[in-house]
Amino acid sequence: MKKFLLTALVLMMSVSVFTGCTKSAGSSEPKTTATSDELTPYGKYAETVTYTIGKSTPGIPKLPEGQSYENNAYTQYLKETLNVQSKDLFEAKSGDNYDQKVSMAVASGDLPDMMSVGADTLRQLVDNDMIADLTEVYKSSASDLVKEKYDSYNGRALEAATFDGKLMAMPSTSNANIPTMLWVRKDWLDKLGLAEPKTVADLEQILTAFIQKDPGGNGKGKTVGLALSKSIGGLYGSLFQADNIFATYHSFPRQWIEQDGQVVYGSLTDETKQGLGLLADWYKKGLIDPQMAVRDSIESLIISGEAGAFFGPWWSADYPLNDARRQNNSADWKPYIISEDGSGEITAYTQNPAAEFYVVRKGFEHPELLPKIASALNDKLVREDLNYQPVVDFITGGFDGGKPLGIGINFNDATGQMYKDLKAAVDGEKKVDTLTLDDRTSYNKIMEYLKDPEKADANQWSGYTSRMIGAKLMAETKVNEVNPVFFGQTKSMKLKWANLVKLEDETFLKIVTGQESLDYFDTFVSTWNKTGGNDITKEVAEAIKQK
Amino acid sequence: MKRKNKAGQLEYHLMMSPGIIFLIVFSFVPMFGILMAFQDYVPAKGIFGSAWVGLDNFKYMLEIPDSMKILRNTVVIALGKIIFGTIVPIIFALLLNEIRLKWAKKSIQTIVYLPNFLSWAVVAAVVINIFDYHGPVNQFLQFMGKDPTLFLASNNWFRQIIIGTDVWKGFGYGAIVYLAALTGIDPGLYEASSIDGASRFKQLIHITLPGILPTIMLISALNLGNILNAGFDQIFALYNPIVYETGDVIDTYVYRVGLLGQQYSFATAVGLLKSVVSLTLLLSANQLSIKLVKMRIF
Repeated sequence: MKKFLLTALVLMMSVSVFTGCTKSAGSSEPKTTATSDELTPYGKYAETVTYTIGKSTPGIPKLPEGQSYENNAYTQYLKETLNVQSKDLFEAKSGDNYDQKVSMAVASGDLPDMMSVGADTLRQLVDNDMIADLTEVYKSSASDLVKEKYDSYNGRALEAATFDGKLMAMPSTSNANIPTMLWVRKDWLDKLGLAEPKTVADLEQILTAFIQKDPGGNGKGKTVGLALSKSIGGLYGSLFQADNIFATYHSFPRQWIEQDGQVVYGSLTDETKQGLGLLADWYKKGLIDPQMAVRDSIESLIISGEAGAFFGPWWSADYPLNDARRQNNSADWKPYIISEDGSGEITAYTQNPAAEFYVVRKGFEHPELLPKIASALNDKLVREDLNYQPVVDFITGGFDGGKPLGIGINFNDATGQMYKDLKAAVDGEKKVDTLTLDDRTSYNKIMEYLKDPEKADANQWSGYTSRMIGAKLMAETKVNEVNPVFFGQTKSMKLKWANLVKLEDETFLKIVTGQESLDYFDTFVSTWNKTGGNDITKEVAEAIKQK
Repeated sequence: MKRKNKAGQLEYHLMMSPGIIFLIVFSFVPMFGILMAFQDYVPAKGIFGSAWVGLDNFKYMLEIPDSMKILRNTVVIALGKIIFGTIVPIIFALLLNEIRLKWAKKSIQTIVYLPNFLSWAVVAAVVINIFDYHGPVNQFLQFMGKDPTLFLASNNWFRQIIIGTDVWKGFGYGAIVYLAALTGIDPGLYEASSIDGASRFKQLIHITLPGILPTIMLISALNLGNILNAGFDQIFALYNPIVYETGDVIDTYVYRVGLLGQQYSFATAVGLLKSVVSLTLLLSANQLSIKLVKMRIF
């Protein structure tokens, strides 16, 4: 036995370690060999350009038979339009596996010509001078639409990839999912003869009427007013958050914001305390789900018809309301924008617009290829070449992972744009075959719904309500945006953040459900600061200064 | 030992090997990962590439107020489960043993045995419904003229519910062994004692209990080793942020902080704490056993 253990130990110890020597990155910047025509967004190369990539693959590989990551509908499209061919230096499942391969590549200095990296790795690559400056090629080789799309974030998207005034990467964008809306059972409002809500006070009245009069016939005391998540608020663009309530106090829980020239964590402000105060009051009055703390599935509460209202983004009609509608065809959920004064304007915080970064290896002869491919995939393919058959087949077949570079660039108001396109198509002002594939599916549902709204099925109702009502409301509501100033991770966060989050979750839930008084909030703030929050706040301020 | 004997033991060793391999793969090899507790572990760099930070993770663990709470919760809930999880099956087995109707005995035994086969995900759903605002418990309270309580969101009740439901789920299964042990007691002893005029209660104290004592000790010892592992799925399915104060145990904490919060090193350090608690419990149980009943557990 002893011998066996020894052997096992030796085996474990002898796992070899790969140590890479960092190659010196090319000291002189080689000029691109492209001609001025080849430098334009869609200029085709005279000779095929082969480029290597780090390929991030989907968790479950789903390619049509006979196609591979290096040879599929998308690579074929790029070959035909630009005469370029990808070669995978490494392939790894997106997430940890991919990040690990990237770390190895960075450590060994053996980078692919192009790949995607996270914010931390990007900084590391910039510091070690391993990636190319894209300022010039972005100007010459990104299409106008791509530039417009980036600009729709008011410079915030590219700013995240800019170091000392140089553009070092092209980010994938995360488009807006705000404002979230108040979804209410319109059929209940009608039954009780209530007006549609415009203000927070209206909502309070409606919730009171819902729980007192039980318009859904759930039985005494079983109707839930507002369905609310255990996290209370602060999850961007998600279901069941109370961010709309907090925003009326100008409170932005869980966000790093600037207040009087100082960086503060939004969960600690007096405004947040006020917001929690209101929610605690509502909970006490029974307007908020009394069992929110132990509620397992808020969705089932809504699907079963027990809840009368919740906050959610425009797509709430697809999920979870599609199931609610399936269960009860008269459950008529409608979205509303409520504000303090009923003006219809709303305050909301924005999210990190740059999610991942695409970089070019320093020394690669064709740095212009990144903006060119990004333009081909995000502009030409979705406009001029919308009906390019191999890609249409690829998408309608439900396949995934074809694009050699998964860079996605969308307008910040992509949802609003979707609404406008669909509206134009429904009104007959836009040809249906100029719609994107996704929009065409929605268009069909909307037309079916409009034929006979009374008889429409749940899918048709969802398609119509999310796109023609929810997205419309989103596109037409004036939003006073508050931009959080920091999204990354600092050194101390690594060790201490999870505990602070736990403290925050616990405190918010206890205050709202009345297990602690509102004054406990002050204790929470001081504990938060003492157990690491102070250090982290300093580091965040430091990180912003550096930028 | 003689050579001849050793050769004869080969098949026994082979029979043991699956267990040994299981132990090595799932208990010894992961011990290697304890190194993470002394590192600033980064998955991409691995254990060999991550920086060493000495005792930083342990220092931080002592700094935050949570550590003591979690340790206390773990010990209280674990001890509660050990004590009640031992006593209840014994009492139940003794009571069942007194039933003379054979079919009633069999069917009761089967019914109470069933919950053991259900996963906690299922039992938790039932428990949540029972303690729901509109569930039977609260309806009864309201009938008695009391205010309904949200038991699962109450720090006064959460531990009791955890221990109670765990005992409820497992006592039927636990009782089986004792019932078997009861049948092993020589009926001659009962006959002799009744001739001597012993009452049923005296028989219980002087014959039945001593008769099953070795079994009780053995089962307790086996339970002890496992008890700190047994809480995760149950508590995870039933808790919520409000009852972190009384219900958050080492396993759930490590899961949240380590896997969801991605603080691998810190979570490993906290997990190491669990091993320390387990070892302490086991050693003290052994000492207790030696002192009280003059019997070694191991």
